[in-house]
Amino acid sequence: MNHAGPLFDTATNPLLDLAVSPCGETAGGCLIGTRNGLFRSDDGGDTWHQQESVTVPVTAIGFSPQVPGTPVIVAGTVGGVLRSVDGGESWTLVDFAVPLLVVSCLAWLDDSTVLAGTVEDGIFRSGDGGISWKPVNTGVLDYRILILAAGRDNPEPAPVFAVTATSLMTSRSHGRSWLELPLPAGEAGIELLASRQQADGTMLLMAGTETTGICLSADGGQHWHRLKVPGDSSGSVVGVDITDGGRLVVIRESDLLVSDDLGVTWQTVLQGVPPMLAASLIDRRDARAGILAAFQDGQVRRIGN
Amino acid sequence: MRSSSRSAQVVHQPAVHQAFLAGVRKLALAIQPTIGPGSRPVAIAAESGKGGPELLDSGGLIARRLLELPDRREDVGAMFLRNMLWRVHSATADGTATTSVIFLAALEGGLRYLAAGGNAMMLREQLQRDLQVALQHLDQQVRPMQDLEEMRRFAFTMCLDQQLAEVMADVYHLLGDHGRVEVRKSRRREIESDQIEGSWWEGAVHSPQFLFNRDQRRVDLPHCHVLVSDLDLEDPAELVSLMERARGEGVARLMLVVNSLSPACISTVLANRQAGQFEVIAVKTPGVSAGDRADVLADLAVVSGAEPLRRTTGDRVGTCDVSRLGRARRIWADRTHFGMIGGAGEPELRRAAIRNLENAFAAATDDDVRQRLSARIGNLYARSAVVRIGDVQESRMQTRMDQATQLGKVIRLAMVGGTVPGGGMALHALRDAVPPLDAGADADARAARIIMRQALAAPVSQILENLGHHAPVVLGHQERLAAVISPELRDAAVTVKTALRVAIEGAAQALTIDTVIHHRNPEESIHP
Repeated sequence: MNHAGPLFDTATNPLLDLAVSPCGETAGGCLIGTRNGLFRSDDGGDTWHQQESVTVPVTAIGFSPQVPGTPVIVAGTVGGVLRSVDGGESWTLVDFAVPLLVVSCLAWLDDSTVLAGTVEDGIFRSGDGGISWKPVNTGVLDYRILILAAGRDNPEPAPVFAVTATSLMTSRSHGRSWLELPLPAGEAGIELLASRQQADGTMLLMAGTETTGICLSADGGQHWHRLKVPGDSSGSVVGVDITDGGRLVVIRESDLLVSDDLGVTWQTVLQGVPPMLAASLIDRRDARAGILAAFQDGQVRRIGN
Repeated sequence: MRSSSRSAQVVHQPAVHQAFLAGVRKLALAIQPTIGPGSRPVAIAAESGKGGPELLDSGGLIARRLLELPDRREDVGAMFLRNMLWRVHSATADGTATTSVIFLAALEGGLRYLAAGGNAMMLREQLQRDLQVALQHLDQQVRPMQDLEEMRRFAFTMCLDQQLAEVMADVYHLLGDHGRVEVRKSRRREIESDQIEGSWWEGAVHSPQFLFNRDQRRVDLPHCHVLVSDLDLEDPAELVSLMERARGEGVARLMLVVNSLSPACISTVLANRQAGQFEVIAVKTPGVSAGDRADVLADLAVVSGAEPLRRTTGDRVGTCDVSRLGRARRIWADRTHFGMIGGAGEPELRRAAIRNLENAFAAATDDDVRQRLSARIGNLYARSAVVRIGDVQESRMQTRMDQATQLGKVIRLAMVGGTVPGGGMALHALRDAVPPLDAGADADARAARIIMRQALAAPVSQILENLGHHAPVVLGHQERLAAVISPELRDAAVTVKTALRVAIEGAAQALTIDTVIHHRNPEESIHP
């Protein structure tokens, strides 16, 4: 059933996550998770329909990276994850068997390995595409997991990163154990994180922080420096990403900028966009392909090319 | 043990050096077959005279089995070396054969020079000077352990047991250098490992009736509060008072960490237990000594966010404020241990506690202290695992368990301090750092240099001999040498450094001994 009107509102049905299938509109399309459930669009965000079978809050969405093919989709919720193997047509609840657990973020490491961060119960790992899950909290001192980031095209076992309420961590064991890293500018408030391993092995990491703005690390998080983004306003960044070739992408409330020289110079790709709350690249390989953006009026649509 | 006599015999040169060297040779030659990649076991007859011999390939353990030589004069030299080897074994769990080979070479060379009229004190000084140069150059050969595959290769060369090497390398790769690893027996044939989530301590439940899941002999409590104390809880009224206040504050599950719990209190807990509404268990405060218990209380407090109740400060359970309780997302206990997952302690306080322990670890020199500190760090980091060793034969299982423990120590040393070329090659390469001195140099300095160079070459020469090669021939051909001793072979840098330092310092000291006093009926040395 097609949905008319706003998909979310910040007061009663806040937007919790949005994601775009790596395989295009016919294999999962665009999804957004809200407190009231899951909405799906198969036409790039022009029309949306609510997934009737999902009546629980959807806190995070993750597509498996297999291209081409139909990706496995996992969606975080209360108690565990919802899992779909048919491009989002039907969903199965996988319970983590931990009372009062809420999944906060998801990250696929390869076609079968996926991590789930939780609000207060640490990190869980599935090695079978989301069917079964085990806690993987070796080295985790803070169980409040906010963000998981893995460069999807990474060769195994590229590092994966996790942000907690008080720390930044990395795993060099495919998510099975964790090690704390220095925080960008010593700041705990990391709100956005993207990672990508370059062909030469360089591990790029870009963080959007609460007060320091955008920071970049070119050595896997050991050392950080602040990026000077034109018109930078630390509170207005709604998304960061790193695409193939090490292109840095910063999505702010009303524009999108890219940098091909690790943040020395920036080009504006989109500007004059109505105020956005969140956004995701349509194609992680090409920032110029446009973004799926959630606006303050509750609408979600594709903008750009 | 025999009683010692007051009468003693004083022995001077040259008898001292001759007998000392003979004793050292007996022990060193017994250990020499165990050095290097071609190591061969040494058979030691059972002390009781019954059963088969014990086959050992660890120089430290072989030395430990040798309690006394029949000749008292030779015994002094053997015990001198034995003591050195045990120190190396305790510190590094490896490198004892290397130590004995270097020590013997340096001692023999030094004694020859002294017999020709050399000055022992000057020789000692020069040897120590050359040792510092060699150690500095050894640092230049150190390479950090790169990845899991290198760890596996390294582990295999240490134990020559593929399965054990892979499991131990995987465990330490996951846990890091301060990981807490327990080696336990298994009823299965394989070697397995399990990561343990959260932090855990040795502390039995005060009553088996607290184990709700009797089949698994374990209890799991989600969203549980924790009372942390070293108190003896005798009076049920105190317990009831705490439980009533806790329930009033919305506490649904409570774990009491108390030193002892009276039968009346156990009955009170069981009588008040309402599954799903209010569940209480009690475990014993871990630690044997007061110092141990203080450490455990501090760690429990950091992990759970509790404010401990201490006997020394007159705290009482009956007057304990609920705000002093800690919390965890999950708590578990079985007959011997309990643990917490997702403790509510402030992460920043936990990091600060870990930093303090890491500083104490770096400053500690005692091996036991370092092991305890390392285990505490691993526990606070929530990095722990159990390795279960199984085998068909009980004796072989025990040997593999010992091997696993030693291997864990060596892997950890390699992770912390890196590795150097193995098979004695790192030491052999150090000869370039201490080249021969020309004829114009001081005689003691020249002699020390010759002795040092011979000692540095001794391990690789012995390894080649053990492998059935004529060392001078192979050492003269790089390609042939690489074919015999793989360039991929690595040793823990700390082990090689310790072996070289202990051996040369020991030899330098032994060369200055001129007088030995023998007791008529010496005690057997049962301590290393």
